[in-house]
Amino acid sequence: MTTERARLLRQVQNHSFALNEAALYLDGHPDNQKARAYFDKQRELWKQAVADYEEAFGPLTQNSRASTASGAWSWADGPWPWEGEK
Amino acid sequence: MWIYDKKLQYPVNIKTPDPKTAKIIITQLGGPDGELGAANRYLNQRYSMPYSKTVGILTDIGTEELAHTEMIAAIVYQLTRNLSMDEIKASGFDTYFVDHTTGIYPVSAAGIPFDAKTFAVKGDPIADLVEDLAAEQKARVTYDNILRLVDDPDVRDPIKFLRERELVHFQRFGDALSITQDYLNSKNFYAFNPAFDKCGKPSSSKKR
Repeated sequence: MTTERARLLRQVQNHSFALNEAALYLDGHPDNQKARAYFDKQRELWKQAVADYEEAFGPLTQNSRASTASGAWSWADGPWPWEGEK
Repeated sequence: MWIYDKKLQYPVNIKTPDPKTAKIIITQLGGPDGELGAANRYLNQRYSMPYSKTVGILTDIGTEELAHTEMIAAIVYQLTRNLSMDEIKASGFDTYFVDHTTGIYPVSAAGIPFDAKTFAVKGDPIADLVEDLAAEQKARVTYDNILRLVDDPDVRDPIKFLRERELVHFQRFGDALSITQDYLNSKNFYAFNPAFDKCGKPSSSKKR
């Protein structure tokens, strides 16, 4: 069973990892247009995935959105990544 | 996980190399109360911290300390640029130079390589947070001593910033200790370990 939280987080993880991989490759091959197009496409998908996750479950990074929809400060709320997904 | 920001937390722009000062300041990277130990101490203490606010404080301060390791490295790097062999010999930097040239390697001012004992994770919130309060004060004293030894305003400026952060972190760890104690029965602060024993760890603690 997959919760909505885990599902949205997986989207962020997938696109974020794709960005990681593409960026690492581009560091050594900065003129590769195919890799660059892939990076740009993944970056759009990653931005949307982050927006979707944070809208529902609060900030993924300290400088993104400070709170959830309720307006309460939620950066220091659990669950924390190492606790495992429920 | 972490993502690298291509900026220093506070600017470091040193015009005059000074290898003798570099040898002193590198202790805040690899010394007993340095930033490398601080970052890893706080980030590793998080896992056994039963209260979420305290985990947040440790995450944020630990992350900031990682940025401080980069500031110290930047200071040492700029203090050891474009050195002549004569400057290296005359300054006493030769004892570092022989092993590491002008690379950045974490040692204390006396040349002792970094020791993971400085991570100091005990797995008990009170013990760990009191350790952290002391660690911030010890780092503050080290920065005070650096400021006694160094005159160059280009070096003093970022060192003063780092010293100030030790004071702020001390305050925030004070918050963390008081949050932790609020969850515990005040008669029994030291009677059990809320990271390990069942009592003192309300099931809703992660939300608080």
